[in-house]
Amino acid sequence: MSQFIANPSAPRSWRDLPQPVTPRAMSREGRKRLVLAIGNVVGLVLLLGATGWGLYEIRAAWETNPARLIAPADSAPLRGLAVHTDGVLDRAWVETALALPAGASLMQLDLPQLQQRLLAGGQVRTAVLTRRYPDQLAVALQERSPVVRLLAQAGDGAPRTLLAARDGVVYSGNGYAPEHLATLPFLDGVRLVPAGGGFAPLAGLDAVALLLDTARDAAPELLRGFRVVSLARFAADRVIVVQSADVPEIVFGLRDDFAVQLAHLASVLQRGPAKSVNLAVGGNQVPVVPEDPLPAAGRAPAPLAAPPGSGRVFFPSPNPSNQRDI
Amino acid sequence: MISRTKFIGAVEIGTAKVSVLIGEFTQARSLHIIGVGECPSRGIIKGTVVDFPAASEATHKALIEAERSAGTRIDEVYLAQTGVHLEGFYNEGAVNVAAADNLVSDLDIDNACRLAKSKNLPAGRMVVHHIRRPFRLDGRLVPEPIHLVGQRLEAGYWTVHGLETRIADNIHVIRGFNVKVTELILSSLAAGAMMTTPEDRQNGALVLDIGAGTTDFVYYRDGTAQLTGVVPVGGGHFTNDLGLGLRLTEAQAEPLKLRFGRGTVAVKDRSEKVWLNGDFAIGDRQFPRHTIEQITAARATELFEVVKKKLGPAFTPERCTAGVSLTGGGAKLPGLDEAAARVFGVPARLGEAPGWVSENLRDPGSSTVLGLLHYGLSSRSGQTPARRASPAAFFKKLFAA
Repeated sequence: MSQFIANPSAPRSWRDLPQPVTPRAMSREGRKRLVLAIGNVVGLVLLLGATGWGLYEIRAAWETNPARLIAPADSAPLRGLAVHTDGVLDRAWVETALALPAGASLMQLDLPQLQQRLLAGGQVRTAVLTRRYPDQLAVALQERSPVVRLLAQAGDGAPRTLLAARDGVVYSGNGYAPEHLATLPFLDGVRLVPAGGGFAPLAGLDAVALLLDTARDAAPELLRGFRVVSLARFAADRVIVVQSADVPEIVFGLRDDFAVQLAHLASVLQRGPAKSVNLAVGGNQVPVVPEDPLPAAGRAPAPLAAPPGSGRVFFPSPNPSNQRDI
Repeated sequence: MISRTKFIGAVEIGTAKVSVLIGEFTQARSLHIIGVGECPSRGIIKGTVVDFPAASEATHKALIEAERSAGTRIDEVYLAQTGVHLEGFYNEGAVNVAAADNLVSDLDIDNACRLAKSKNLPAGRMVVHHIRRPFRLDGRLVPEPIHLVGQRLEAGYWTVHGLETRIADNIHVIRGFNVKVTELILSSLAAGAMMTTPEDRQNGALVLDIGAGTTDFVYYRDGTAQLTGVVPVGGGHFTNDLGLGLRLTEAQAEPLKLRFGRGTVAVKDRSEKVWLNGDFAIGDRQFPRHTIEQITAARATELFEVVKKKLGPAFTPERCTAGVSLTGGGAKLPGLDEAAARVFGVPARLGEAPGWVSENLRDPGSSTVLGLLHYGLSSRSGQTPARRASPAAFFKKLFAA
C-alpha cells in the first residue's frame, strides 16, 4: 500500500508574492482601469440592489394585497378615442361598431375582439388598435372602395342596395355620399352566397374594377352611360357584359387591353347607335349589331371610320346575320 | 460548451526595449496574435528595474499601444523574467515504490516530485521555475512512470530561483497597470520554445537569446531543459567595446556596430577603412574595418566562452546534435553563428521562427515575447483542460477590467 510522505517545506515561489497594488503606485492608465473596474462593481451592485428591491416590493405586495399588483392597469379608465381612416367612416360609426363598455379601463379592452367588430361589416379592410397610455385608444382604419352596386333580396323582404369592392367583398356601405353611389353601375349575373354574417367574396370584381378604372381614365363619357355590369358570362366565356344608356349590350373580353376595347367602342358609336357591340373577339374584329336595319340593296354603304391609330378603312360586311366587322 | 476567450498580454521588459504582444486564447487551445506594442526601454539595466517610474512609463506605453492595436483590454499578463540574479540548481528526490507488486502509482510520483522540489533556498530568494527532467525508474529514463514496474523511482528538477526584490519589482511594474501577472516565464525558456522543435530538444540543443544587456541561454537534452542561465553580457557590450576601442560615444558606436560589426573577422585587407557617418561632415572620420571586426569578434568569442563555462561539463558537442540557435536582437550581428560554432564545436545558426509566425514578427528580437504566448499556451493546455467559466472567474474579470 502506498504511503504519503509528509510534505517537506516547499521553497517560496513567485506565485506567493502579493500582487495587490495601491492606486498611488499605479500609472494614470492603471488608475483609469481601476476606476472602470470600481464603476463596473458599483454598477453591478446597484443593478443587483435594484432587482432585489423590486422583487421584495412585489413579494410584499403579493402577500399583503395582491390586487395592488394589477391596480396600475385598472387605474386608467378609457377617456379618448383617436380615429384615423383613409375612407369615409367617422368616429361615430367607430364608436357604434366598437360598442365599448362604459367606464372600461384601457388595459381591460380586448383589442383582438374589438378589431373583429370593426372588420365584421366588410367596409373596413384593416384595423389597427393601439393603447396610448394612459387613457386613449387609437384606431387606424383602411377602408374598401366600392366598385359597383348590387341589389339583393332575401326572401320576401324589400331589396336592399349593397356595394362590392375590388377584392369581391360585398358590404352594406356606410358614410358614402349618395351622389357618389349614384355614379356606380349595378352588378348583375352573380349569386350571393351567405357566409358568416355577410356574403362570400365574388369572383371577377377585380376585372370589373380594372375596366371601370380604365374607362374613368380613358373614356369618362362612356363610363357615365354604364348602367349594369354583368358577370353572368364571366366564368364560362371570360367576358364582362355591360349594359349602357346607349348600347344595350357591350361585351368586353379579358384577353385584350380594356383601353383598346374602349377605343373600339368609341369608334363604333361614332358611326351610329348599335344594339350590341362585341369587343371580346380580339384584334380588330368587332361584331356590331346595329340598331336600325341594314341599308337597302343598291345603296352604297358609307365607309366606317377606322379605329384611332389603325390607319385602315372598314366597310360593313353584307352577311346575313346583320353583323358588321370593322 | 461555453466559448471562453481570454486576451493575454505577453510582456518582455528588456534593457533596450519593452515588447508587448496580445494573444487571443480561445478555449485555451488556439492562439491568435491580435495586438503589438513596442517602446524604447527606460529605467532598466541588465534586465533589472532600477528606476521604477521610468520603467513603468515605458512598459505602460507599450501596453497601451498594444491594447490600441488589438482593440481590446488585456485580461492577464505573461511576463518574461531575466536578470543576472537568476540562478539554477539540480535536485533529486527518490522513493521506493510502495506497492507490493512494484507498480508505480500516482502517490509514488507525487512523493518523488515533492521531495525533489523541497530544497530550501537562501533567504530573500524565490523559485521562478521548477523544470522537471525525465524520471528514472531503477536507473532507466522514463518520461511517464505511471503503472510501470520498478523498485526505485527518482525525480529530478532544475530549479530556477531569483532575488525576491527583483522579481517583485518586475511584477509591480505590470500591477501598476492594474493587470495581474499570471505566468512568470524565464526569457530563455520562452525563446527556446520558439526556436526549437521537440526533436531538437530530444537530441540536444542550445539556445542563446542575446539581448541588449544580458544573454539568456537554455540547454535542452532528453526532451527537457537541462540547464538555464543568464550572462550579463549583451549587444550593448559590443557597442561599449567599440566606443572604448575607437573612442566614440555610444550613439556613434551603435550604428557603426550595426553596419560593420561581425562575430568573426572576415576582412583580410587591414588597410580597408570605413567612414563613421559617411556624410563627410565635421567630425566624420575613418576607421579600419579590420579593427571594428576584431573588437566585436573578440567580444562575441568571450560571450560564448562565458556561456560554455557556465554550462560546464553537462554540455558536450556529442550531446548537442541539434546545434546552437541564436536569437534576440543581438543575434543579428553577421558572423555570430560562425563564432558560436567555433566555440561550442557544434553547428550554429540564426534561429528561425516557425512558419505560422507572421512576417512582421519573424525578427529575432520578437522571439522571446512570441515564446511567452507559445510557452504559456502549451503549459496551460498541458495542465488544465478547458472548463466552463465559473462565477468566481466572472467576478475576477470584472475587478480586473
